[in-house]
Formats: sequence, structure tokens, C-alpha cells
Amino acid sequence: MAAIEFTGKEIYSRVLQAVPDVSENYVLNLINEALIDMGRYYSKYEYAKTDLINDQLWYNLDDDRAITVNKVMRCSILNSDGEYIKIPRLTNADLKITHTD
Amino acid sequence: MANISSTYKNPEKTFVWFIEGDKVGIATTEGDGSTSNTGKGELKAVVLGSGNQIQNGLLISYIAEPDKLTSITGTIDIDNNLQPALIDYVKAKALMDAAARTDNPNIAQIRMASAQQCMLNYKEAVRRFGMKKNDKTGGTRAVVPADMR
Repeated sequence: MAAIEFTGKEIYSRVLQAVPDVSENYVLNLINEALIDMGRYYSKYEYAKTDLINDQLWYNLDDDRAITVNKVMRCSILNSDGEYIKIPRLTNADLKITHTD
Repeated sequence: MANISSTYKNPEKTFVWFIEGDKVGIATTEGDGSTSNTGKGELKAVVLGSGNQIQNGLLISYIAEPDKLTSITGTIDIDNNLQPALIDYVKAKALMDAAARTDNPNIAQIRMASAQQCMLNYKEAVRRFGMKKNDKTGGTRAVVPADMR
């Protein structure tokens, strides 16, 4: 366990020293703004599994999904031995068949 | 949807992935899509039979966004070594807003100077050194100086 686990309250108390009249909700919004900005640089690596569906080319990475993906690093496919095998990235995305769904 | 088992022996040779906008595309040369452009050997969407799927057949490794803080008493979803940077960011923005609100130009100037210092600290911590400070396993362990002889 970490020596200190920061909560929003600790950040709030620090901000009060500099700006005494700010509200908790205002600081909460600023913390979330900071987290979005830090997410562009800070590397929080995670893994997620999804179903491989017949005749589906696209798998959504929208911000409204259960997971928020900033950058895909690797994709792996389940093989017949139950192992996830890393697959190569197609850099030119040059497919003959166009899918719109 | 009916779940089926994976029959792919070597997906590294027959599958590819790519990004288009906010979607990841998964295409394969395996299976026969029964048209001249989706036969075996052509890149196309996976062919598993109508209504079929492989449960958890795709694993994505990704860089995630930190979780949203929903309550002021909640724990913040970033590594501890980046907490000072977070405090700097919040203080900088709060001081900037406070400087804009005040009628006293002297106080506004002092707050803006403090805000700029906090923002500078934040940028240095996250944008310039964030990855190096946060990298717990990788990164340079020692620098070997060039032999100048």
C-alpha cells in the first residue's frame, strides 16, 4: 500500500491555501479536467477482452464505452489452444471490402 | 448469438488490426466469405457463420484515461508520483480564475504569477518528465559516457 493515497479532499485542502474561497465542486471539476489532460501523457496500461463477432469489421472505441481507450497498443486473437496471440498492425488500412456498420 | 470455440491455429499469420477514427478494425484472410472479394486469402471481417461469435476472442492492450473522480472524498486514479503535478494543475487554474475575479490589480498580478509558476511545474512534471518519472520497469538505468580518446 502506498504511503499516501490522495483523495479529492487532500487536493482541495491544498488549493484552499492558495485560493481560500473556492467550492469543493469547483475543485472536483478542475481535478477531472487535470485527469483528462494527464491522460494524454500519462501511461496507464490496461487490457480488455471483447467478443469476436461474425462479419463485424469494426469494434468501437468511443468515449462513452465502459472503457476509455486513448491509444491502442496491441491486439491479440484467441487461438484454438486458448492462447492470445498478438496480431500485426496493418499500417495502410488498405482493405478492398468497405464496411459501414 | 451462439458462442463457438476458436479454430484459429496461427492468428498472427492471418489476422491484422488497424485504426480508423475511433474504431479498431479486425480483418482476416481465414474463412470464405463466398464472394470473389471475400474468398480465402482476402482480407475481410471474420467469418464464423451467421449468428456466431467467439466469446472474449479479442484482447486489446491500450493506454487508458484515468477514471473520473465522482466525489471529493474519492481516491484519485493516478500514480502517486504524479499527485504533485495534479495539485499544481488545480492550483494554477484556481489561481487564474481568482485573478480574473479580483478588482485589485496588485492581487491579480500576484495570483497570475503564482498560477504561471504552478502551470510551469505541472508541464515539466507531466509533459517533459512524466513518462520517465512514472516508468517503474523500463527506462535508462545508467548512462555510459562516450569514449573521447
